[in-house]
Amino acid sequence: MEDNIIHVKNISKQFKISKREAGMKNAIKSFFKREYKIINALDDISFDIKQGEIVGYIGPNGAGKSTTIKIMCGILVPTSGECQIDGYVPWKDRKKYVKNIGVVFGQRSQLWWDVPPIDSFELLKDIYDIPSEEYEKKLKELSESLDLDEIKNIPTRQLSLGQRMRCEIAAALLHNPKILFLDEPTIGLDAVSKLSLRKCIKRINETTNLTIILTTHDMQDIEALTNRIILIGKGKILYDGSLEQIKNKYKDKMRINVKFKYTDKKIKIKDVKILEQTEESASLVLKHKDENMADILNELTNQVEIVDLSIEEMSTDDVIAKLYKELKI
Amino acid sequence: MKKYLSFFKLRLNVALQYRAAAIGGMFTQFFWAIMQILIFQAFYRVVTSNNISLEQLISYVWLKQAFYSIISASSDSDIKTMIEKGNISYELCRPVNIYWMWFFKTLANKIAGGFLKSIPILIIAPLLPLGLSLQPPVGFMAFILFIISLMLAICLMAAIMNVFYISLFYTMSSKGTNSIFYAIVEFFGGTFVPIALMPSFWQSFCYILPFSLAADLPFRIYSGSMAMNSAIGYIGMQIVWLLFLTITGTIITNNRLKKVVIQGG
Amino acid sequence: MKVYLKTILMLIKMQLEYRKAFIISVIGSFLITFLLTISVYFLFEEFNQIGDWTFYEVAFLFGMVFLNFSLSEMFLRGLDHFDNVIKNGEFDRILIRPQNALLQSTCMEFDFSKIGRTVQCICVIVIALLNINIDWNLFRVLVFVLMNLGCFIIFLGIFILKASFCFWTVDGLEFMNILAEGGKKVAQYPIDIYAKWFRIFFTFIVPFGLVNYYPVLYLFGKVDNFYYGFIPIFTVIFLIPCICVWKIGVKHYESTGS
Repeated sequence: MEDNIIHVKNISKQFKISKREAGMKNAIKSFFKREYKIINALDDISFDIKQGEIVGYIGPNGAGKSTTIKIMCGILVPTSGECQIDGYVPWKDRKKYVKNIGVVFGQRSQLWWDVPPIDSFELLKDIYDIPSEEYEKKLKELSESLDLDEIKNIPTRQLSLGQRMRCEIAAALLHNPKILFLDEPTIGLDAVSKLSLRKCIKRINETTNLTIILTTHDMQDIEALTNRIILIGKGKILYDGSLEQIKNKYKDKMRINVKFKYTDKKIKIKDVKILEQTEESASLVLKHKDENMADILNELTNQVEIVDLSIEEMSTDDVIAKLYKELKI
Repeated sequence: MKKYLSFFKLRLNVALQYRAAAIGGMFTQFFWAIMQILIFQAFYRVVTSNNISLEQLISYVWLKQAFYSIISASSDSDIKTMIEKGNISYELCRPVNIYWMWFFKTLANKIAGGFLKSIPILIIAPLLPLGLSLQPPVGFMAFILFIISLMLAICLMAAIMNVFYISLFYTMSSKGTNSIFYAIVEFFGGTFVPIALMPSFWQSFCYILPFSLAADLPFRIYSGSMAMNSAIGYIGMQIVWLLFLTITGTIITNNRLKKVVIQGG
Repeated sequence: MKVYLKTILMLIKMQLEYRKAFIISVIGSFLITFLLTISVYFLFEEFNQIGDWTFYEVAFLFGMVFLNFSLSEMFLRGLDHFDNVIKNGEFDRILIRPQNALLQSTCMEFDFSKIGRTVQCICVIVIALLNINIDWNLFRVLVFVLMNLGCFIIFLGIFILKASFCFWTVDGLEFMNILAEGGKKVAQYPIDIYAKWFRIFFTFIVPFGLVNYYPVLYLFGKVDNFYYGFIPIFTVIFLIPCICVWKIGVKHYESTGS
């Protein structure tokens, strides 16, 4: 318990939403009488996060990701359950608590649109009561790790999305928080910006021991930054552990494509399924995930004269998509 | 015609969904009308106007309030953002004439939203105690003329709104121009002070402009504060203005759109 | 307070970036009030007086109410447009900052273009005062200041109320305009011209009567009792329930998050 900076236990959250059906008749009906139904946005969520850890919080849209984040930020009060973050209960004593966290919403800007980021930083300095010395020091540090020197004096509206996102992260870290919430930080970024942003995040995490909670739909973000993921679906935690393990689970879905010199002999290998075979090519999959790949390739060379061979691993996106489908979320 | 009609259905559906807005709007309307009536009562306690009697004025206030959202200068934010953000090129891909699409969209917004709003007043206001109530029309003829001029007024207001949208082509921003436009329409339409209470020079000036024909004339006809033959004359003016605005509007829009196409949006 | 001033300076800076739009907005805000002033003038051309009140007396009240309304539109714009803050989720951002939420919401917007209206209202007040016979002394000046302060406080309360309302629904806001817009219109005239129930509402519920009728009686020398001049102070009481509603609203937001 000691080194867990975030401790979430049995959190549930229910919402009441009004039901609406299509059609003019229903529109008139619901004008006079509204029907409501209760939905469980979060259902008994528990997890712990250590200081300095980066955690990917993933799940399909509407799974309850942002509800959890909102609760952890102190914006939302859960229906039941407990949550301790750095010794605070987020929604109690919020004004003190929020000095310990930084939040970046990828789709919403906290920078003032028409002035350069540096002006926004100055204002945030006052909002968070940051002493001048600390502010200068932190700003310098962030300018280096996020490469802000050239962009912080350009009006925000003229910055590219990637540049802006770097400023957003700086803005969220100025007051030196212990925890950073990143909500879809790479959304809409081009490939190069994504790579550099990931590098920056990683660097900050390593140098300052910052705890980062990251929600994203981009599995490459996760792969680049962290190994621990928490998967949520329909308000429940479905998986909490390493990404590797999930990927291993689908190792059997690995596909071997092979081209060989003309033969009409059928390939036959133990524990391998032949998906299709022509006279010059074949594709195979493993039946069990713990098969030894080397043995199989050996066997294959014995049976045919290989011209070309490729192994198709499932991409993380495919794995996650598969997982969502399997879990029916 | 069917594609224009579907705007109406959609709007009516949307309007019905916002229950709180509808109820709030109803209160607002009654409040405004009663407040204005109280002010006018205070004025009339000392002197009476030669142009319009207090009873006529009260009917005028009620009707104006009932149909306010139909004949007010509130603009459609969809159309505004479409022009400001330059999304207009998408609209060009649709098989409709853009001037008339705006025209009917504005009309649909105004009628669907405004029609629902007028019902509570038209039911309750006549039942109020004397001195506050909406009086029946002065005669059958006046009522018919009222209906005709009201229909024309709604169309005329949609055409006036189109002038505003077209002006956006040139200014490209509705901020500011919006309030200038609003001020002009409301003042010359007799919303700040009924036209019948303006000095006579201003009255005749206002009735040359389309704003009063769209936002004031029908209610004066109903309340009987305007002679029948001059009413018919003004209805003729409504038609002239409507034709003038729509024809010039169509021509200007088409020319402008050609430019948009050439400049590539 | 420092944060508030800094934000306002920043917002002014932003508005001046768009010079053309800014100038047009100033003209627009000037024009509306100008035409409204003309309208009041027209009414007095036709009727000469309302109750015992003359044109300049009413013009003074009109100027005062509109002055404070435009000041509150200028400085309290964030509360006035609070539905936007809720709709685009900016309130989440406000809650994760260690400052008072109400103050931050007020700073969300600042509409400097209402300066056109403000200047004009000051002109109306000055012209009106020059045409009314007032026995000026230091105490009357104080009463004049108190009236304006009280008037601003009422609008502040109304704007807080209107903003709080957004926590529950953002589509019934027209109703809240009764208080701001309606109050503005009502308070242009001394409230003794209205029916009794109306007077009671605007004295004890939304206390516009406290800043226009009673102090004005004293200011214009219609009564000698100088207690009347102090009455605007009581508008502060109006703020208490408004702030309570705001607090309840924030609680509600925290439990529904929308």
